[in-house]
Amino acid sequence: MSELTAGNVPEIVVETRNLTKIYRDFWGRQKVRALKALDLEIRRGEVFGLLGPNGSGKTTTIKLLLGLLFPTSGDIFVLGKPATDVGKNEKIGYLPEESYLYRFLNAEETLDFYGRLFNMSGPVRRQRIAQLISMVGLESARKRQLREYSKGMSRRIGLAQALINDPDLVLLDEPTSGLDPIGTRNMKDLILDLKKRGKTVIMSSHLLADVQDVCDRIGILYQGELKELGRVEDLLKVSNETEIRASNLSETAKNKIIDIIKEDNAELVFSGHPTTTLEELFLRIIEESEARPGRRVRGGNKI
Amino acid sequence: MILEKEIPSFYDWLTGDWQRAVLELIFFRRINDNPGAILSWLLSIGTLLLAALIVGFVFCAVRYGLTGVFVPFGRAIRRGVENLTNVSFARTWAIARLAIQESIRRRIMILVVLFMLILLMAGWFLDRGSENAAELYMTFVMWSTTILVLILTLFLSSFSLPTDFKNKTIYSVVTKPVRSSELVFGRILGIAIVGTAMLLFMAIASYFFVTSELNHSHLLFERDLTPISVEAGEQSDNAKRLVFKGETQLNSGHRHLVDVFADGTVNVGVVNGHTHRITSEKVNEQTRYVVHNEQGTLQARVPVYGKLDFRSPEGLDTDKGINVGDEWDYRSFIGAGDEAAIYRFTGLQQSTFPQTDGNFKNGLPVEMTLGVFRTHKGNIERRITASLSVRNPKTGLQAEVMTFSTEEFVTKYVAIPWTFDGTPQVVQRRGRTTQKTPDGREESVFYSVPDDATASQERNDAQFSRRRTFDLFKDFVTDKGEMEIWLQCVDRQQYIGMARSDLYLRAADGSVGWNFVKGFYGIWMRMLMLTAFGVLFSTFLSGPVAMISTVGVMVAGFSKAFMIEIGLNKVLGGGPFESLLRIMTQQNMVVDLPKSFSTTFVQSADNVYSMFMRLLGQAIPPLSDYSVYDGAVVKGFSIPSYWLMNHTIMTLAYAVPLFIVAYLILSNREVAKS
Ligand SMILES: Nc1ncnc2c1ncn2[C@@H]1O[C@H](COP(=O)(O)OP(=O)(O)OP(=O)(O)O)[C@@H](O)[C@H]1O
Ligand SMILES: [Mg+2]
Repeated sequence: MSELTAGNVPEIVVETRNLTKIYRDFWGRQKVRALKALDLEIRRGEVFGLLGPNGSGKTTTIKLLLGLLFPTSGDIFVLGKPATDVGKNEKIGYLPEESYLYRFLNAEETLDFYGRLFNMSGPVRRQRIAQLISMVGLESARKRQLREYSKGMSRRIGLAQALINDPDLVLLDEPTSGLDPIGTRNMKDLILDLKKRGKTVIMSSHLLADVQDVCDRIGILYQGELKELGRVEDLLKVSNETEIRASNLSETAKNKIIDIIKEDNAELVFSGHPTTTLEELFLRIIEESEARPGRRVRGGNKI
Repeated sequence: MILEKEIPSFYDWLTGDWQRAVLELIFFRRINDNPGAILSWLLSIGTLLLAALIVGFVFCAVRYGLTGVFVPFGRAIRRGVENLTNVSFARTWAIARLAIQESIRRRIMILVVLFMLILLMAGWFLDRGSENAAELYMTFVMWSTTILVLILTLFLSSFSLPTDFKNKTIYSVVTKPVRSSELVFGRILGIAIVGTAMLLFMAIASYFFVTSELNHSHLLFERDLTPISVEAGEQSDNAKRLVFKGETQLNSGHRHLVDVFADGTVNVGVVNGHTHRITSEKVNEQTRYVVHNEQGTLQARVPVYGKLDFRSPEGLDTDKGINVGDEWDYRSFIGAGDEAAIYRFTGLQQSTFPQTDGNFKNGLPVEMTLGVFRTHKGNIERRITASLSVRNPKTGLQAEVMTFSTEEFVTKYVAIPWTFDGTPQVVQRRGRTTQKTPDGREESVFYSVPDDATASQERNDAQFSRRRTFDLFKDFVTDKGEMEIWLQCVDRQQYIGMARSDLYLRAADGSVGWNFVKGFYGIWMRMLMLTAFGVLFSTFLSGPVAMISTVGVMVAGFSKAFMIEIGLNKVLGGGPFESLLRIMTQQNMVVDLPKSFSTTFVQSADNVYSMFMRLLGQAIPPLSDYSVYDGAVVKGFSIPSYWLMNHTIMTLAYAVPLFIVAYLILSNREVAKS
């Protein structure tokens, strides 16, 4: 694979200003406010995670960035161009939340078709196809029509399709959904590899562990509003709490530690096997948002 | 072949009477019926654009309020222009290829099998012994191909994009650097390629089907022939002496009469429009006859049409004969007496009809199909007698060539001999015409061609009422190649009817195969038109709705000629504005309105309105115009190349704007909505 391709990619890869999307019905009547005044800035080389419960507007955001949806108001710039400019697509890869590929084509034909859409020459296309098919582990199914593919296989070919043009900006909508543990692991490795190569990745997910493992920064959406935004470490660092992890700890040793905490007049917050702390953050935000709707938080400040 | 509408030559069709139309436009008059293709195209596009802008403006104003109208407008235009830049053929081809792959994977090949089955069935059910078997077979293959190909492209074009939207496969496509112009054009291209391949296959299969089905031969044995005895005074060793007469064995429901001559040559009679070549060979003292394959069932006749005028019973020129009450006013009738139907040909050249060519050795071939109207019943079978004369339009010299009997709607073939004996006459054509006076008024003047002086001079020269021998080209064709053929009815109280395309000179035949190709090109153009409409509708409608809309356009297109006629007929009481004035001033529909400013105003408004509607109506493709292709192939006429030019340009004149509209719509469509 090629070396760092940061060449002519602008420093700010994605920028949205006051981005709002209202879904309307045929008569122009308002149905859903899917996104409310989103301001976002994603820099080159970042892995950005969009988090939020079902229906919070993650997919809507990604579609807006791609120009698949037109904003009700606000501006979007992707790779320095307006989102509706087709030219930006030269350097973008997109993995939709479900497999939206032609079911009558086989894996090779699929990649060949998308390769042609990038005006790639025959030899380049063939080389790239072979590379991608082995990368996503579909060598044995390369000649089978996609209609016969399982969900995870569809996901894999979808990913290969998204990477056909060696994009600078990759948008992944729930990349790990439908993948087995190995596939999930591979996907995460791939994202980290892309990051290493200087690519920018935007992914949405509600699988917190995945996000935590690979994302530099995350934004948490709830009912179309951005509730939290910042670096993962910063968001998760609870400065007045300490977590100690150990393995093979005996029960007596554990009791000793608890005693020490008590001696120090500190409060024991939790004892037991650690849960994912992002999950806590996530649940807390949702809880608080429900209690006090409409309040918004910016730049990773605590609520 | 029935040609209700004369197909103008390429140049006439393009330009028509555009200067007059422009003047009429400026003064808000009704535009004449022949503004020329270019002008009416421009006007229609302009009108449609105007209509689209008005609708778009109202729509945006309702949605965004009056002040906000221009924002979405500007945005839409920008998106449209953006999509035209950087168009790549490779990407277009990728889309086209996908459409082809899709139709192959969707088992389009079933259609091939279906078509073969249809031909097989036709082979069983069509009567190859029928009198007009060629017509029957050709009609069948042309129709079945047209229907199958149109249905195929109808489905492909109206469902391909909507399926993409429904399956959301479009998401993965439009997030690649594909312009909507490429998307639309690629679709049209792909579907056109599939349709063309299918049509090509069907054309080849049809051609072999028709030729092999119609092809047959007969058996002829010695016992079928009766010897002819040598007549007194005839030399028994004369090579051209008739030695046998007889009939072939029955095949395809008919036999041919045969005459065998002493030198072994055989003359074969024509049945159902065809004949056979028969050769003979001697084997052990026995003569064996070989009847070869049929010739002449399929034809590509090249007609040379003239202009038809009539001569009234008073001996004056008119453009219509008598109306015998036939509801179809295609043919005009003439009775006996001074009445005549005058076909005037121009640009005739001997080189078109070379005397050395076997087809022309008997003279100038004339073919006609006349209507017959009887004022009294009698023997229906009895034929009606008519006469055919030729006249030199310049000198007025006229001579009767022959009288012949005719039956209704039977195509009659005669040849005007290159030289013939006849009685010379000098006939003047008289009539009234309008002329512009120097001060700009129009006045009616009487004309006489040739004028009296020339006529009497000619009469002297012609040595009146003495029979003499004429040379057809020398005596009757002017130096500009003009000649007239006059048809007159000889039977009292009977009428013969004719239209312009009912009588024509026959130049050398064209190639049947090539004509077949041209006929299929007519189907191809219809297919392309349909595809363009289907793709247009499919850019903003769901599949079934797009299909129904396309079918709607198709039906409207096939009945367009009829609808335009309704639109052109002047309605009693005027258009909507004049009617309104009549209602307000309480005048009935038949009174002429007084000449006043308000009258002029409402009538101009009506003219603008009717013009607007007429131009909007132009958006409907004139699919009925293409039926002349089927007609020509079925009836065995060669399709002239200028038809191909007219209709190709017409097809493109629709397809290109449709394509632009389709891509404008697609580039402004919010892909992920709904
Ligand atoms: N085409 C549409 N028409 C109307 N409303 C829509 C449409 N698409 C999405 N919505 C609404 O917009 C909101 C946001 O939807 P979106 O698909 O962006 O959520 P999401 O965060 O991706 O959810 P998930 O995790 O389930 O994928 C939802 O309330 C949804 O109902
Ligand atoms: Mg989603």
